[in-house]
Amino acid sequence: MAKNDVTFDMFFKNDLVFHDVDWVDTADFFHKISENLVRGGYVAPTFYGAITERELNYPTGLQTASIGAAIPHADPVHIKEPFIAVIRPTHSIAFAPMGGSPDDEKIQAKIIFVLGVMRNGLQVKVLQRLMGMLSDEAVIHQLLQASNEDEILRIIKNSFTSEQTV
Amino acid sequence: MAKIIVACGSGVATSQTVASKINRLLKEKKINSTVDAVDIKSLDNFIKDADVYVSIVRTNKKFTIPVINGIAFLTGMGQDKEFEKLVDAIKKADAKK
Repeated sequence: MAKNDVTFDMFFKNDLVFHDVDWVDTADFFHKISENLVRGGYVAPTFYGAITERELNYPTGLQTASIGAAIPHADPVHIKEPFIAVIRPTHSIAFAPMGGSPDDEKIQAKIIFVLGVMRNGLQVKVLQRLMGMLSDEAVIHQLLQASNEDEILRIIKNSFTSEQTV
Repeated sequence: MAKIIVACGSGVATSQTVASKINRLLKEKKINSTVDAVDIKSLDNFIKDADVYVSIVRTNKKFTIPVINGIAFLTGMGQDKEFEKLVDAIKKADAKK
């Protein structure tokens, strides 16, 4: 395994993969994920307000050829330990499209990645890999079929260690 | 040489990723240009001497330079068309210099 792959691995945490959670909308989503992130020591209590406001001003819903997704993130000042949280909700959650306004037609996000990345240069590589994965029909199919957190984590780590980027 | 700017909310993740991809695509086509990622709050400063603006966030402002949809480069959806528009805008900008 190449050295940079190990670097990606450190972003994904066993306690930050959520499978089959019934989080109904973005308000519920941000509330629940922030609670978990604060409890795990990944973010400061200010994270909830920051990510909620940011999503309102700069929405992060993305539609690729393979899936509707969202990549919410907040300013790195609220982050204590880098992470990427993965959420595969039971029902898709409606996110406003990136580059759009809250009134635009929503993206039905079937998978959500909360990006707790720092301002250290690695964030670009992370996003490149992530977008490569979200455009990969085969990987997306696996992710949607996965039946538990461990499986999701394994699929994502595999995808991140392959060469594909956008 | 044409100057392209990409802006997002923080200038940290999305705009840099899009800038990096555009850079790669332009290099493949052997088109010389500079691509910079900036945060949306400093857009006004950077846009003054830019030739093309690649947009990732919504704005109500009117621009005098061509605006390209940056999200296409992130998701791959409609990317070929936006890249074509970008190359066209670069060529026009270079022709004026």
